[in-house]
Amino acid sequence: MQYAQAAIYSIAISTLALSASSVFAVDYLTAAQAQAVLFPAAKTWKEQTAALNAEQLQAVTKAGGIHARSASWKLLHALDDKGQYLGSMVVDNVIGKFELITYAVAIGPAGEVQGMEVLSYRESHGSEVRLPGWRKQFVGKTLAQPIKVGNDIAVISGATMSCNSITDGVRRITAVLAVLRGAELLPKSVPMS
Amino acid sequence: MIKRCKPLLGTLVEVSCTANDTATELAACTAAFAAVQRVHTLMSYQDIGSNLYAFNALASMQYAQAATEIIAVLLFCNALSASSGGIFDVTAGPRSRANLAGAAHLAGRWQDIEIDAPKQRLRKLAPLQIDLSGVAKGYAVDVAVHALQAAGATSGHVNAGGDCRVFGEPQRLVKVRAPWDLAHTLDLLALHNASLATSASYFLDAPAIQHGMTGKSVDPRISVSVVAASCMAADALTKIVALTQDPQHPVLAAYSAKAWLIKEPAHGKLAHDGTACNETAYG
Repeated sequence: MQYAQAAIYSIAISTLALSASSVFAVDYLTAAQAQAVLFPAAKTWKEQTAALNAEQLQAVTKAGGIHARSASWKLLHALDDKGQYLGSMVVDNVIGKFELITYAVAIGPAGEVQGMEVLSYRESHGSEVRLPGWRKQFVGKTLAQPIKVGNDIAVISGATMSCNSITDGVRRITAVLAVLRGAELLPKSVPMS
Repeated sequence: MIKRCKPLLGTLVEVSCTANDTATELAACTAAFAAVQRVHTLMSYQDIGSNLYAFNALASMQYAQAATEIIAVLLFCNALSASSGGIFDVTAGPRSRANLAGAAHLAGRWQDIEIDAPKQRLRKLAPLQIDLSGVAKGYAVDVAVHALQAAGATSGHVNAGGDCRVFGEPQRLVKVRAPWDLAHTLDLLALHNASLATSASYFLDAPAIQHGMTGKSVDPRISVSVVAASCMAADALTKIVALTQDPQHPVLAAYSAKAWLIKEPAHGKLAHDGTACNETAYG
């Protein structure tokens, strides 16, 4: 069995040493790649910064069962070759127990989640996760300026980590878009001028 | 080479591959994610819509049609239950949870799952529920790798929350978290056309693995890694090693597998000279 031999011969027990790195970080698709994957029919993109008022923030909390977190949301609207609205992509960061995840979610014209891609994953088990400074470094980061933390990782095997923080994040964005749509602040599925 | 990641199977699933061009790589990854999604849809224990959920809800002695994939996974599981003397048992988790909750006793064990493969159907010979959490992730990794290959990928890897499989060139370095210090990793091995699964419960609030015979759970400060050809076998075998604390368990040989039981060295840091590792971090 080739793999069994590989396992035996490639492990010098003396090399089973603790890695010096205490931070895991990995980048996946760029935001531009995610746009192409999530909305393959998109020809043009229109950026919108939506600001939610207090009443709308409450509506988000009610609709998503989750705190709206921010009043300002950057949306990327996908339009096809005829200017038809295909949906919106939102890039967001969520912080879990040890991890900060940047992901993109695609919401269709009727408010349905059409897809999502994790764009980057940062993990730290140190106390810095709880410090505002560590969190702040991710605010407003675009994928054009990836954050480099240590070397690119190999494959890491370990116990399964939950993805609840992303699930919550997607629910929040779905609710934000629903509230904006209700207030007629999103493009409609008709050609835009 | 392209690398993508999505939340699936309740965890993050990472897929990477190399093909002739980027479009093929993206499409291959999409196919791999779809394959994982299908496994989730069929085999989720929690999701009301899953094929497995419908079977679990059914009364004893009633036949239920089951997807080919579920039949294949159950045949594998029952063979492993037989060869491990019932240590591995897909009915153990639900039985223990039902006991804890004071719910109706699920007396059935793995032998009470009748698998009628030619007719693609299953039935319970005694009250039981099946939880495939111990193998479904590994199985999903296997089908994702097959999907990547079928879509034209020449090399790549899939990692579903610690259960990973690599194919093609080059070999990949696989690191394992140190269960006593999650900020650190151990360089475990260079994996080449094989799978490595790790099981531990350090991210969970409650222990996840129950002994099929004794109902005992596993120490959260240890982790178990198994290398095998298929990720399903690697995944399932981690449970046997974790429960027996025996990284040289005889059942490993039947799958040409190799195991590591990783725990904190008794004295200070993990030794670099290998002396301490023989006792502590290596089986």
